[in-house]
Amino acid sequence: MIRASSIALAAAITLSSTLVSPPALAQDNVAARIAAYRERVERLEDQVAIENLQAMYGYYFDKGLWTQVADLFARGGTFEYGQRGVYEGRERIARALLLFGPEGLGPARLNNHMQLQNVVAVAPDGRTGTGRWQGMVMLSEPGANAVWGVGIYENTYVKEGNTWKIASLHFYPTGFTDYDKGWAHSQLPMDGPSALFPPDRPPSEVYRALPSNYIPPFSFRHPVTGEEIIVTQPADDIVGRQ
Amino acid sequence: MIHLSKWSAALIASALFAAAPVHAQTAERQIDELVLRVERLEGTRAIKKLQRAFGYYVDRGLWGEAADLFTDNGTIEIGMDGVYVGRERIAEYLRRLHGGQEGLIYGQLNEWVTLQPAIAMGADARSATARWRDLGMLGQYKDHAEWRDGIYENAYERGADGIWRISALHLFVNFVVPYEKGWARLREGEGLARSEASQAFPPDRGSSSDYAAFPAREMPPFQAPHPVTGKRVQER
Repeated sequence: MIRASSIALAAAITLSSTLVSPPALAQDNVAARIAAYRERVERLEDQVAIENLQAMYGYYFDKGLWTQVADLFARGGTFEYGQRGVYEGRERIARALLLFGPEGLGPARLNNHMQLQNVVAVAPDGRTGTGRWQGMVMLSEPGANAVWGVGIYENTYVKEGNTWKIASLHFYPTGFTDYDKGWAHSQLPMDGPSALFPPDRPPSEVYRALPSNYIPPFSFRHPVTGEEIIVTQPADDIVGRQ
Repeated sequence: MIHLSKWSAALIASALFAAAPVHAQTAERQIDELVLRVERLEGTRAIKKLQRAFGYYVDRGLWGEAADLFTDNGTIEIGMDGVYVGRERIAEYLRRLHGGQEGLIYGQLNEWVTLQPAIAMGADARSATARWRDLGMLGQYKDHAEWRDGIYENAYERGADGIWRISALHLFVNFVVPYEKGWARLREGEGLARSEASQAFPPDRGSSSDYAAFPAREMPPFQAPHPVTGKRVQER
């Protein structure tokens, strides 16, 4: 409200100044102020666009609409799910997605990947952005028990032309569990790189899901202190992390 | 905020108009464009609030409050229950769907967790559609407990009074399944049934879609085009 009334005040000053001083100066001020507001509005629109983009990723992914999923990625975009390795480019991503089920899924396949609790940050120039999302997962396939899962997405986005696209998507599973046993009794291991359709690169980070506690690095600074979050990952003898 | 910014915009514009008509018109047009963009952002927020309020009201059995979120000819359609039109019918349907009383029954759990909005705002900031995820936690203490999985494809309108309302709510229920059983044990046809409420209190119109609940393959149609290609997404 303070800001709004200060606009009105500024406008009033503008009014009086146009009456007594050369109008060009006032026009420059107004033009500059409008340009600054446009930038601020555009940064808000960018955040909305990224939120929609990622929500639609979830909706298409749920239903096995792999072409639609792949089309959300930028040229050279990357897809990384757990320890499966990195797939690069829309065509490679579209094929890698078949590892999660046939196109359009099929009977008795549930592939719900919720996209929740986002922290989206857009760069000041509005060309790139990042997003951290909470991903609850509900799965099933014919002849197998249902599965609950949960994990974190750390994604990057890029604006190509006026359209936001996914530059990199990285899902870090926190833990997957057998539905009947629950997470106190069951922790399912993550899938490694596929032999059927190997990734373009090995996993960008090596870690285990629960009962280990890997911390997906934060794309955003602490909102109050402004500090980068320095994470200490759990020690792992096999990985060689002290 | 809209009124204030419009007022100050008008003030700036009139100030400039007196001095230099051409520049004033440019500034005024630019401000009008910005006002519309802000209205679209505000509309997106208003719709999130509206749909989340619907969830919170239904959660606790506030049927009248939930129905008041709809336009005069607003519609609700849940699963195979058919389409109910208008606030009175919507309130009565919701009431009957939950046992016929105001509020909940002792021991009743009725969480309509409403998540993952993807809102497609109209260019004029007067209408919009949205897809939402439904995660239902339902049940009656000492009796039964269920998970529900669903997708909303809804539509919204901003009235002449500036207020956003739900013009169409459509919850495509993928399944309702006992907690003990889990969704992987559902057999064909077990995932969804027409409610007793809908049978005793028939809808104004039948189902708008042929339902194929889990474990069959359900694909709620996408109202919004693909966010990158801009093309319509074929559902089948």
